[in-house]
Amino acid sequence: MTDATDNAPSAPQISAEGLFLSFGKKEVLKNFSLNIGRGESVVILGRSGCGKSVFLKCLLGLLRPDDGKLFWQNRDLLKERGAPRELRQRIGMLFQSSALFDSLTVWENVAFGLLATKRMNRAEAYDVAIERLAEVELPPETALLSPAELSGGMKKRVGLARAVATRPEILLFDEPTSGLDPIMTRIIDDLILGSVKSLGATAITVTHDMQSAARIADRVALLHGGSICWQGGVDALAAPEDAGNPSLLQFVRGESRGPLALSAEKE
Amino acid sequence: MNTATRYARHGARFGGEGLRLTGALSLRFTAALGRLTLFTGRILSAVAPPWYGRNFVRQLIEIGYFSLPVVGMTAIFTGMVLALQSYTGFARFSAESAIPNVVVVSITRELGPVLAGLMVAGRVGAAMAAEIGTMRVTEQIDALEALSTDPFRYLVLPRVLAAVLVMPILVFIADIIGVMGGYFIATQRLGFASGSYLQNTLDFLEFQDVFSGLVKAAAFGFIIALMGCYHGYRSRGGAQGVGAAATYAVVSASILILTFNYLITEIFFAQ
Ligand SMILES: Nc1ncnc2c1ncn2[C@@H]1O[C@H](COP(=O)(O)OP(=O)(O)OP(=O)(O)O)[C@@H](O)[C@H]1O
Ligand SMILES: [Mg+2]
Repeated sequence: MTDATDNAPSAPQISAEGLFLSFGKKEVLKNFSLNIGRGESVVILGRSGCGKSVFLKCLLGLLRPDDGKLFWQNRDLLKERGAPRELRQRIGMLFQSSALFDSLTVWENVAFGLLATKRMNRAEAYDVAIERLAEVELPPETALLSPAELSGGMKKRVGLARAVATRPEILLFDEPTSGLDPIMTRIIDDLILGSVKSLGATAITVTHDMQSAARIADRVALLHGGSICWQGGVDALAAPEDAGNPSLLQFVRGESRGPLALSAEKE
Repeated sequence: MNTATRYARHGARFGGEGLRLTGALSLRFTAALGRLTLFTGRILSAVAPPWYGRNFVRQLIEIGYFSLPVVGMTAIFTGMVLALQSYTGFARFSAESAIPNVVVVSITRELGPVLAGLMVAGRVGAAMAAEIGTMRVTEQIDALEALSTDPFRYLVLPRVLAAVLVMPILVFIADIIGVMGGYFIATQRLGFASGSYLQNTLDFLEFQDVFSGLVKAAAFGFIIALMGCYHGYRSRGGAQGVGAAATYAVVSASILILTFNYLITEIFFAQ
């Protein structure tokens, strides 16, 4: 897995090598390796509870792997002090649960990163927040609401606006389109695509929505049993039988029998 | 916890159940003390910019201003009952004239800080644990860190600073209200002359009385905020975990307040 750096056109921006992480006796990541290039959009697929969110939290330094290596631009995130903090400042993250601050209004949520790291004043940050809310099709009236007054899908979109607010280099999206209607899903997909294609960001997206994955991904990785069991170009989603991987085939077709079901039953 | 059980098994071999239990409990206690020390250390190292003035002011209002009614009610009734009860006692050996002195000393040295501390622990400690606990279980604390904001600086420090600053003010107000409660009963029910009661109160009062009470108040403020934040920060597992955190925060803060009340009294007494 370590020689993957040689195959990639340029050195990967983020590279995980043989990560292990367990909660008590439950092993979640087992020899997890994945390289992500600069400006690439990678979608991570996998069954519910297989550790996708856990991997994103490892990247953010919210969880610490028990073993393995995690590099960002050849800097060792698990050894070099200060590197995780620098990386964090370049990451925008959408949490699966949106995780909006419920003591703040919608616009303060969106502007949080601008106020915290970009040293903007509140008036400027407000204007930017309104712009970002418009990108996720939320009208300016929502800016002064509190998160408790929003629907689930609106929360998700505010979370998304907050994640992209500072125009970070690296975007982590944990199920950005779950709970959204098909039209909204399309709009969010376009937002993610736009961030990657026109702003040059690197995106790592976790999603269960195959259509959306096919639209936004350059590359797809399938997580199973704690490690990536298949990865390849996004075209494989359209024709999974050609990829020659039974796990992928089962996952994309959503069949209950197959290699993925087996080990899930063991749990 | 693993080490705890392992050592506890050793204990069982040598001294039976009792020793085993003692061993497990003392290890658990030491572990908790260690975690608490680390937590306090993180608070101290968070004393650096950026400052979150907005959060600090919000906490000042929350802890100070909104606790005024509760603390005021507690103080006034305590002062009133104190005057009545000491009259009953002192009348038996004709020492009624000592009532102003007893009231003011008991209130400023003991009852003001302790009762205000316990009331604020119930009101504010539980709220802090519940709020921070909810933020923990709904990943808001993770989101703070993801947005490059130190939760200790943003959440914990403003609460601790506000509590330490505002508790002495609350207690000072409670002192005045409590003494006035005693004054009210003494003049209205017990036939004291208004002027001489107040004169007695002021003559007898020493700076040390009020000062030791305010030192206690600051310490209790620290204890309340520390327990609220600590238990909230560590809470796990949804609504139930948050509820448990709030309970722990109030119970542990109350016990620590009573313990430190004794210790601080002992220090001032020795001088
Ligand atoms: N804080 C935690 N404590 C204990 N176990 C955890 C914790 N976080 C995650 N897990 C466990 O790790 C496993 C992976 O969780 P994770 O949230 O990464 O799943 P996921 O792949 O994101 O699933 P989903 O698609 O449902 O969101 C789960 O089995 C979960 O029980
Ligand atoms: Mg998840």
